[in-house]
Amino acid sequence: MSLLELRDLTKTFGSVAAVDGVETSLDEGEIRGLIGPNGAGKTTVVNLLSGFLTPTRGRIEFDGRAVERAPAHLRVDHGIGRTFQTPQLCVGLSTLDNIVLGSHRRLGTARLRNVLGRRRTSLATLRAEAAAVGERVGLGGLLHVPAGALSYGHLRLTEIARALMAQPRLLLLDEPVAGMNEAESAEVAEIVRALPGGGTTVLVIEHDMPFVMGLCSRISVLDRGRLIADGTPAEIQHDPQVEAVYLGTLGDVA
Amino acid sequence: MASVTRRRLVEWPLTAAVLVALYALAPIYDGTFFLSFMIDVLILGLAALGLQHMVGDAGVLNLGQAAFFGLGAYGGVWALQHWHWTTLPAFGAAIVVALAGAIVMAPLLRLRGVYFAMASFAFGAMLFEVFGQWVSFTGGENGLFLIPFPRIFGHTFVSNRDVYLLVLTVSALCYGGLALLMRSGYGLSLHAVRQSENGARASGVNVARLRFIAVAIGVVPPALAGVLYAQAHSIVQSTIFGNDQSVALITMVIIGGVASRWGAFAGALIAQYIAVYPQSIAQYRFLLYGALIALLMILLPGGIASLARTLAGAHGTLRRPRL
Amino acid sequence: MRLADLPQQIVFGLGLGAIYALVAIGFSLIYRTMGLLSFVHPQFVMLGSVFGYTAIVTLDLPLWAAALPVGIATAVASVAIDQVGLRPIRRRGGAEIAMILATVAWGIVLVELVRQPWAYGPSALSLRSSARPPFEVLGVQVRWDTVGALATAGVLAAALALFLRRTTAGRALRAVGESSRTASLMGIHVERTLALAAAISGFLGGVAGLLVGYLFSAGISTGTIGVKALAAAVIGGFGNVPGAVVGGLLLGVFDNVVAADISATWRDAIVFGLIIVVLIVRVGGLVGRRVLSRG
Repeated sequence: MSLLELRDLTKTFGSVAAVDGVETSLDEGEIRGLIGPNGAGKTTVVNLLSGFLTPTRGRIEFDGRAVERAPAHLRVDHGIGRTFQTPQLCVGLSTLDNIVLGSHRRLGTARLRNVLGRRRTSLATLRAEAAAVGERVGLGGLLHVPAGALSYGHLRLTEIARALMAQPRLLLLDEPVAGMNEAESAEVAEIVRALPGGGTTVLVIEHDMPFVMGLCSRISVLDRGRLIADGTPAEIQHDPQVEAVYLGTLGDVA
Repeated sequence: MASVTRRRLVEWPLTAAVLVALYALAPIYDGTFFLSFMIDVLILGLAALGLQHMVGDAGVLNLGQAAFFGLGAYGGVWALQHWHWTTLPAFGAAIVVALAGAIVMAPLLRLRGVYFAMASFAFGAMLFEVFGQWVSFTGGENGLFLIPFPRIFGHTFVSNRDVYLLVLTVSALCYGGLALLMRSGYGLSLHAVRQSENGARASGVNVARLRFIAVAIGVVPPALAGVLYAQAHSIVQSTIFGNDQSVALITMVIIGGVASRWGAFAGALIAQYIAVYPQSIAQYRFLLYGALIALLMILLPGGIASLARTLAGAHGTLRRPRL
Repeated sequence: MRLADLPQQIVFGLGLGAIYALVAIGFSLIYRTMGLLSFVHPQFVMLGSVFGYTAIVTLDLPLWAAALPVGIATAVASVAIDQVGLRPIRRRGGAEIAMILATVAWGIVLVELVRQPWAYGPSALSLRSSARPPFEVLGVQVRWDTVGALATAGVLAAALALFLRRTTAGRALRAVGESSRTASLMGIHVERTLALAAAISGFLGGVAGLLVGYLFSAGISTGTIGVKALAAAVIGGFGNVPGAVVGGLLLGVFDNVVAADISATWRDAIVFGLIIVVLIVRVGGLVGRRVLSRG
């Protein structure tokens, strides 16, 4: 059984269908790419998967459970994590503190018990864990710097680290390497490649074709809300419909 | 977390000093109008404190706070007059009634900031109408009379000085309680939501519930203030729980600085001073409130607290909301 | 409740609704162009009633002649407040909350400025100097002033609709409402357009206030009508001009029927309760463009 199944997933805004009848499934351990021209609905799909939007129609089955109506904060419990196209971080807190926030559900900070300060030891453990995750994504020396002082690339890495703190089974990455140079993208690719080994399946939206083609085992292509192709990188590169949409620029990519 | 410890080391001694000074006022000014004035300042400051928590810490712009002031007052007075409870249990009754009001208002929290502001304004207006019209319960505009003096564990607070000390203690406890609360995981979640709501949500924070909790906590100080007001003045009339009062309360929070707890009391001091002392301009009080807010929004949106911070050379408005 | 009276109450409610519609349109216009919920807007209704009193009673102008100067005077006040009180906040990039609080503040300032001199004059006075006898349509009494209010609202709403669609300035308003940054890149002078929006909405509010004074009374209390008209904007859908008209008419009828048949004392409480219910329902159902928190 696949980890994630999308059935007739549709989201309309007024008369516009941002996502229209998308059907696909993700297997555990996959690294799936989601590509398409601007406005194709890729971020909307991520918003639907992460609970920031509710579908107009269709189902999202995660691990056999229908989650399309679950609110965003509960999806984290289910094991779905995400990053944002524009990093959404607390600029007033340190990098480390931002990463720790990702473990919110494990800390139960909204529950009364924690109000009385009962969880302090767990907090220390989580901070150590956050430091380790931070090191793993390459933020080693920056952990105590205020997030507001980080470069764009480091902000993205912080978001990934934060999402990883919740130990997600499915991680949704929205343009993780936008604006990065080749060296930086390669580093991120390494980090992502290691994720399935740790139990995290990945869905990554990107425009950077070398990055996507080199990293993903399968790629889904969206155009104007519809899924027009779904296959291996080789299949996608030679799919006539995809070529038409991208005006044939995919063919030369490695 | 670690980022703010430095400022804490300065805050506590300063707060303690101010508190001692406030307590000292009691014997010094006993029997004077000034002490009565300070009683009202503290009571209103308490109501404003709850509002500051909602607005500054949780981003909930509640333009109907006076309604909770009233709910607490009427709930407490009912317990005092009909069940002959003493003050502490009356506080309990007041809190229950105010919380009921918060629960009724809860569905509105789904609305985004400004729309909630409008809805809360309507909510406050609606409750004000109820206060005025439901004469059998509230006494309407004429009000309820002969409300007993505060009584706690057998001690009756009759003199000005006693009442002042009581009000000051309750205010200090609420202030301290909120300060502690904001240092806990709850406070941290609020900071996170304020700085990045999407990031917090993606990390699993139940933003809607968090905001409701903030509102529930924020209606407790005004509820207590309502009971204290009723017992300090022996009379409570619906006219003081209307939109004017809600406006006055938000004015106090803004003048003091939306991000500052002590600012709520500083704002209350200034607003009440304008309302009471200069006899000639007392009638222009709301005009001054309005003009003050308008000016502050342009020049000093952070209120007095931000001015104090600048003068003290403190940098890093790390956790402060930006207006 | 006497069922026979209902049609009449509905008709008079429509007249009241026409006034609400005018206020709601102005409010929606500000929301659409500035993205701002202007709490000072209801007070332009109050200003209109006060200016109207001056025009009709002091200067002895007939109603139709008074509309233009009153509207213009209120428009000037609206632009002045926008430029002095709101523009500086826009310029420093202030947050939404700051703008809203500023409009609340200016609303208070207006009320208080009028309260002082007005306290020594008649505070609630119907401006109606002559009363033509009502006529009958299908057995229902229709008052001339109801017709007048409906006609005024209709004309102004239609004029605004045409203005927005056909003129350059009107299109500029719509463009700025969509995206002020894009509009400025296209060469539209954003601040001037916003000032225009302030002027138009002020004008509409002022005329509405004149009508309020004519049908009911002039003075400070007319602000409440303005506040209730905000509900009309909500019912119709924020920023939606035709919706504001429909919302205004519906609210007027509801308000009047409640006042006449259910309870005059609880009328305001019920109307405010309706505002809250509608806000919740609207959020749960339809639009929610910028209304709901994300998610």
